Parts: sequence; C-alpha cells; structure tokens
Amino acid sequence: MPFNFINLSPVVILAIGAIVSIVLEPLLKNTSKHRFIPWVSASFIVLAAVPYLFAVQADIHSLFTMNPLQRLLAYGVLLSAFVGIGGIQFTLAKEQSRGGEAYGLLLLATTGVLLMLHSMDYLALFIGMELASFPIYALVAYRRKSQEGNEAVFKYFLSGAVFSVVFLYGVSLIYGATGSTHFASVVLEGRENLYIAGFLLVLFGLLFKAGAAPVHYWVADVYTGAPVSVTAFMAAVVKVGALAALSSVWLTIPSTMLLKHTQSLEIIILSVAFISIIIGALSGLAQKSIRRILAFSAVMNAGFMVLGLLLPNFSNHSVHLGPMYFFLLTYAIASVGALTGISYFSGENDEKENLDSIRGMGRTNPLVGMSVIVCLASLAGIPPVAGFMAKFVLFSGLFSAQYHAVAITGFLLSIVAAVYYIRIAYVLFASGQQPKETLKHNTPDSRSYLLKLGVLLTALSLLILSVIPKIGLIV
Amino acid sequence: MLLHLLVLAPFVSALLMLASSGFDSKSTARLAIFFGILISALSVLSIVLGPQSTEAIEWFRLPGTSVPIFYSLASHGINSWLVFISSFVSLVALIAAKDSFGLHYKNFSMGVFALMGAMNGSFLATDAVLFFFFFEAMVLPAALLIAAYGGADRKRAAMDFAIYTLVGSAPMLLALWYMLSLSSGASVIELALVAQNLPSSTKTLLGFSFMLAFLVKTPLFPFHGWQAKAYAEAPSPLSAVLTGAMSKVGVFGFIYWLLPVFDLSASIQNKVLFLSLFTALYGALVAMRESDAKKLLAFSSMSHLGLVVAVVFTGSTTMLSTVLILMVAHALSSSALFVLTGVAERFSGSRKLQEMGGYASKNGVFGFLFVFAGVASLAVPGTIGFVGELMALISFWEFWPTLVLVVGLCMIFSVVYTLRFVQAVVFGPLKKSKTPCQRLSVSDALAVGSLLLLIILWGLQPNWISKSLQNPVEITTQNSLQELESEEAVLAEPIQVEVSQDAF
Repeated sequence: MPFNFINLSPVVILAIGAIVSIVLEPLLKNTSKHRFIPWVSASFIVLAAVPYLFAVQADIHSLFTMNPLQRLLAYGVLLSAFVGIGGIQFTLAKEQSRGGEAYGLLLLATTGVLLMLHSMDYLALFIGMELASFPIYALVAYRRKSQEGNEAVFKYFLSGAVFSVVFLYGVSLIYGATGSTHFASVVLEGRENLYIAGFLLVLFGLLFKAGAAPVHYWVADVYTGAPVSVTAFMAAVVKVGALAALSSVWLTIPSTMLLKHTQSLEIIILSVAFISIIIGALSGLAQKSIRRILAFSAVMNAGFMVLGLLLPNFSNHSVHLGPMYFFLLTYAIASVGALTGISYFSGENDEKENLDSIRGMGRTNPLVGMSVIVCLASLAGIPPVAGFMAKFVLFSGLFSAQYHAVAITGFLLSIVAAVYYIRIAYVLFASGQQPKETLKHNTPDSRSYLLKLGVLLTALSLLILSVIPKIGLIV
Repeated sequence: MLLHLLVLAPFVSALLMLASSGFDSKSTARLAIFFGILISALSVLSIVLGPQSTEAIEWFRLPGTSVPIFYSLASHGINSWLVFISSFVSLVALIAAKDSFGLHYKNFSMGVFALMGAMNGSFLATDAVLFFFFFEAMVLPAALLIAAYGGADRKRAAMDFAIYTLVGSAPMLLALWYMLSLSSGASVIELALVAQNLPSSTKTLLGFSFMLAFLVKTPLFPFHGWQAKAYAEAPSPLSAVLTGAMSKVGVFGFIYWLLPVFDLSASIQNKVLFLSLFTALYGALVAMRESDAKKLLAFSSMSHLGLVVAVVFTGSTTMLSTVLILMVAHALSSSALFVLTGVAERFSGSRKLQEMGGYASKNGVFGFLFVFAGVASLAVPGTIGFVGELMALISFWEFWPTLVLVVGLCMIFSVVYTLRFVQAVVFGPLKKSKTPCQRLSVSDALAVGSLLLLIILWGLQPNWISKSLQNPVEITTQNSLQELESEEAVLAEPIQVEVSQDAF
C-alpha cells in the first residue's frame, strides 16, 4: 500500500490543530486567549492519539514508517505535549501574556517530533527536525524581555543551526556514498569511508539534539533560560525525537560497514554514554536551580539511553531497542511531569524555582506536589515507579551483554544523581519558611485545570507502567 | 487470592484514603483503622490456613536474556507471621496516631498503608526481582513520612535513611543483574543454581552484595548510621512500624534470600555471627549512655536485632523457630515502647530523659503500661521474649558455650538500660509537663494493651508460633539441601540442611 491515511493522520491532525490554534489567536480578546486556545490545542492532541490505536505496520512512500515501538513513543510525545500545553497555559495566564501563539507553536513542534520519530529517510528526518526546532526556538525566547531567555535562544539557535548544517553535510556525504537518502540503502563499492564520515556527522547532529555529551554544552543554559513549562515540554519531546531518529538510523547501518567497524562504533557509543553520565551526575550535585538540576539529569539520562543502542548484544550485531525505548518513554513522561509541576510552583517569571524558594509548596498543593514526587522518584529510579523498571531492564541488559564495568559505574553514578532528585522532593514537602504567601497568583483557578490534569496523568501513567510494564516494554 | 489481598489491599487502602476527607480526621481515622483491622484479620487467616502460594503471573521479561520475571507470592510458616507483624504493628501505629496527627492523619495513613503493602510484598515475594521491588519501595513512603512529620532534625534523618538504604541495596541490585544474566529465572532455586556454578570467589562477592542490603536494613554495626536518627526523628507511631516491622525485612532477607542462595563458607558465617553479637553488645552499651528516649529505644532495638541475626547464623536445629519467636517478641515489645514513648514525649514536650519523669503519680494507666512494656522487653518469664531468649541461649550453647557469656552480658545490659529508662520516665518526682498528663487516650491504651496482651498470650503458649513452622517442607529449600550434601559444607556448618529438615 503506497499511502496509508491512518498512519499519517496523527501528524495531519496535529498540523491542522496548530493552524487552528494560530488562526484563533488574533480573533480572541487578550483576556480569553489563555482560557480558550489551550483547550482547543489539547483536544487536537487527544484527537491525534486516536488514529494510533488503529495504526498498521506500513511505510508511507518509503519516507515514514510505523511500528509498535514508534507508536509507543508517539504516545509519550503526545502525553508530553498535552502536559506542556497545560504548563504553558498556566505560565502565560499567570503572567497575563498578551500573545497566544505559544500553543500553535507547541503543536507545530510536536508535529515535527512525530515526523522525526516515524522517518526512514534522511530528508524526511531533516524536515521533521527543523519543524521541531524552529517553534522551540521561539518558545524558548517567549519572554522577550528576559535576558536569560535571549541568551538561551541565541545559544540554542546558533549551535542548533550549526549542528543542523553538520547533520545535513553528513546526509550529503551519505547520499554521495549510496546514491539515496533512504536510511537503509546500499553503500556503493569503494565509498565506505565516505559513508562512515557521513554517518558520524549525522550521529553527532542527532546526539546534539538529544543533549548527550560532548555536545551537551547548550543544555544547561537553554533549560535555565526558557520558561519552566517550555523547558518541560522541550526536554521531553526533543529528546524523544532525536533519540528515536538516532535509533532508526542505528538499526539500518549497512552490514558491510557494520562488520568492519563494530568495535569502533561500540567505543563511540560507550564513550558518549560514559562522558554524559559522569558530567550529568557530578555537575548536577552543586546546582541550586531546579531547571539546571534537571538539565544535567537530562544529559545523564541521554547517556543511559544511548547505552540502549548496544543491547542486547551489539558485538554480535543483534540490536533490540525495547529497553531503550522503555527508558526513553519513562524519562520523557517523568521529566515533563516534574518540570511542569515545578512551573506550577515557580511564581512570577519563574523566579522562584530554586531549591530554597519552592520550600514547602507541595504541602499546600498536595496533588501537584505528590505527582512531582512520583515523577522525581521515577527519574531517580526508586520503586514502585516506572523509572525503576526502565533502569532495571536496561542495566540487566547491560550485564547480559557483558558490559559489566559500564553498568556498575553507570548505576553507582545514578545513585549519586538520585540524591539530587530526593533533595528536590524533600524541599517540596519541607515545612516552609514562607508558608503563607505561597501561591497567590492572579490566575483564576480554571487556568490550572489542564496543568493539574496533565501532571496527574504523568504520575498515573508512571505507576501503571511499573505495575504493567508490558505496555511500555515491547520485547 | 488471600496472598494477593495481603499485598494489594494495603495499596488499595492507601488509594481509598486519598479519597477520604482531610478535614474530618476523626472519621478518616475510623476508616483507616477499619482497613487496618481487615488486613490484620486477613493476615491471621493466612497463618491459620497454613502455607499456600499464588499462580505465577508473568510480570515482564528481561529483553537481554529473556528471563521471565514473575509476580508470584507464597506463604510459609515464617513469612505469614512476619506479614501478621507488619499488618498488626501498622494497625497499632494507625490507632496510636489518631490523636496526635490531626489534619495530617490522612496523609500519614496513606504513607503507612503504602509501607505496609511494600513490607507484605517483600515478605511474600518468591521472585527476587519482585522482592527487590518491594524492598526498595519501602524507602519512599518511610522517608517521606519522616521528612514530612518528623522532629526538628527530620531533614537529615530522612536523607540519611534514604541514602543509606539506597546505597546499601545498590550492590544487591548489581549482583542480581549479574546473576540474572546467567540464570533462567529469579526464584530462590534458580538463583541458587546459578550461585552453585560460579567460582567461589565470585559467589562470595555476590553473597556479600546481597548481605550488605540486609545489614543496612536491619541494621548491624557499621551500617547503623541512619537508624538512631531516623527512629528518633520519625513520629513515634512510625518509629514503631520501622523498628517493629521494617527491620524484620532485613532479618528475613538473611534467612530467605541470603542463606539458601549462597552457601556461604563457615568462616564467613562465623564472622557475621560475631559481627551481630558485637552489634548486640555495642547497641546495649550505647543504650546505657543514651539520654534521648527514642535514641535509647533505637539502640535497644539494634541490640535485640543483633542477637536475632546472630541466632540466624548459629545454624542451630531450632534456628527458625527461635528467630521467629524473637522477632515476634521484639516487634510487640519495641513497638509498644515506641508508642508509649511518643505519649511521654507529648507529655514533656521533649525527648530528653532528664525532662521526663514521675508520670506514674499522675497517670496510673500510663505508668502501668509503660512498666509492663519495659519488663516485657526484658524477657521476664511469662512473656514471649523469655521463651525466645531462652531458646537463643540454647542455640548459642550448642554453637559455642563461651558465646553464652557474651549473650548473657547483653541481657544484663538490657536490664540495666531498660530499668533506667522506665525509672526515668515513669517514676521519680513529677517533672513539669507541657501538656497535662492526666489522660492517656483510650485509643493509645487500646493499641498498647493489645500488644501487651499478645506478649503474655504467646509467652504462655509459644508453641502456637513454632507450630506453624512444622508444615511440610517447601520446594525452595530442597535445592540447598542437595547443594550441601555434596560439598565440604557437611564438614563445616550444615545450616541449610538443618533448616530444611526441621523447621519448615
């Protein structure tokens, strides 16, 4: 079947939703923008999730594809986008922002990520990547007058542009080596080295997006400069998109090259993972800003996830990405839930998102507080939350694949990192020094419904994923 | 079905408590206590019905090795009693917290139910991964409850507790991963088979990794850093649960997950035995000098549990029944003492012994209960503790008579610190109190009274407990039997052989 409407319709629905949200924006009064548009956008997201139920395993013009693992991640992306809408609505309504474009931008970015997720062609992937990136640049700089925001977007845009070029250059080399932009194309005789050069450039272009070391330098500043709710959305979906694309590329390395270079590829992945985990775990410890803590946690988790590329046994050329996708899914849900919850507590212009200033906030808002704790526990890998299952499966896989040293160091460092999640969780429920004036927003309650619903959904889905891991762990 | 209920009902209760009113703490408390009674009744039922197991449901499958991980539970003599302890002590905590928690009661009860479910799960699990899942799941509710409702230094206490237990169980998880990469499953038998085929140095290393988790949880000597602080800072009803029930998970781990899986060499077992005895002495000595009432109880717990673990490693023929009776005795008396100390703390507004005293003159019931609980923890004849310690002495005598001296010394020390403690709190001139100490609430009295009643009851009829251990041997231990018959273990110390023949 050359064209499959069902498989494509989620993307189409989201794109229509984006257009509708943007078109609605000038038609509404400033005061009602944040009351109305988010619900429209959110319902388009829910609508987009429906066709996935009926998706079939098929290709579209050999540009996009669909399989159960991708569908799983797509659900994660849609959930993150849903929660992101709630968070952004709350933030914007709190600040009485006059613009309502953010929702449309968010939907556009989500569309891009879904395209990245499903692509099986470098050009399709590139289009998805750019479609995901540009709206996010705009979202990061949503506070136009904030200096940190400007710095963040400047850094992100410049380095993002450079790495887009790097990626594209890699694609052109691959095209030169294979005569096609399709992922799984045959390398022409005598052009292996060209292919390898192209492949490595593509690899690092995607690792940049995923925020893995050594190309992680933008992560901390961008996460800190953006509004917390945008950080939440971006941290989850961009990582899913980039790593899903990376893994599709990874699965289609031509066998001629794979046979010759197994060991070097293994070393590259191992060292990327190793540096990411170490940098992430140790830099996070000294931070006070929660966004910064979670930024370094993002770097560390990127390290864990790329380890999934080597499972179950890369040196024998058997790769199965179930554990990695499970990890990615739980990470995306947990980080979007935790950061969106923090954005609920972070006050005017997100100025109060330090460990000291959210003290005791969870006590006055137990629903959001407890959900944040569930998400943090998942990030820390403490049972009974899904993050534990994800880590368990990933690390037991590493042991079976004989990567003992990596697994032991990685796990021990993840305990170091668990300390900073526990610290956030503790602070949320510590007795506050400023207990009374906690949440005096001029936000009407109705503007936080989506956020509360979304955060609760993340916590619930993390619990469900741990009780019934078979949903997320496709073996 | 019953076993599923024992694990799931606490979690369901926690969820149902979420829906209860946060403002009407009276009716919330009634609801929580009702659930607590139901679950305790179920646990009694599981003791009465004897060993049973559930069908194994595949939980998930490890992709690397295709090892299936099962959700399967089984009860045998010892763990159905431990489930009873955890359910009952949690019930007592729920009752005792009724008056002191006010608006926070709802959250407290949710935490206690979650903790109870995790404890029951780790007692009943037959799959190592499931066991570990529940074992770690205890950390979160306990740490949150300490951090939220503890005393002045609760932050440090909660963090220490969380970090100690997480770090302590990390090697166990690593070892488990390593063994799963070689194994076809995660039950005791399959893990033991894996361990059997490993070189002995690897096996010892893995055994130590498992052991560390239990050493921290129990805790034994060098790993007890979290304990005194956590027990002291936690609200008293929670301390009762922590010492009465949670510490038993560590001991249970030694019996069920360490000894049958790794046939540790005799010299290692002896070293652990001496470490536990040293812990018993050390705990008793520190308790004698301690001036903080709850820390005193914490160290006394440490001393008692040191003795329990020591008995585990004597390899005596009556090891299981001795250990079980000692654990039941300790759970009942120590949680009674913690609840009562919580009341005394409310009277005086401080945990310092110097600021307590003379409550018997104002409040006879409190005085009576306190003296009773204190005496019960001394193992006076007629209480269950006496039976346990007598059996323990016999075990040590069989092992090495000199040890009895050390153990006797511990017991004498325990008399000293307990009587000093009772004297300081109950007798002497009445210290000025923060709240009038005339009334001991009915619920507190009931909670403690039921514990003390059980102490006497089983003190007179200890074979009700030991009888439940004489059920047919279950499969898990047969394997270790075969293992041991072959090797030099016969020469050394036939612990598991004895266990499987006699006790189950």
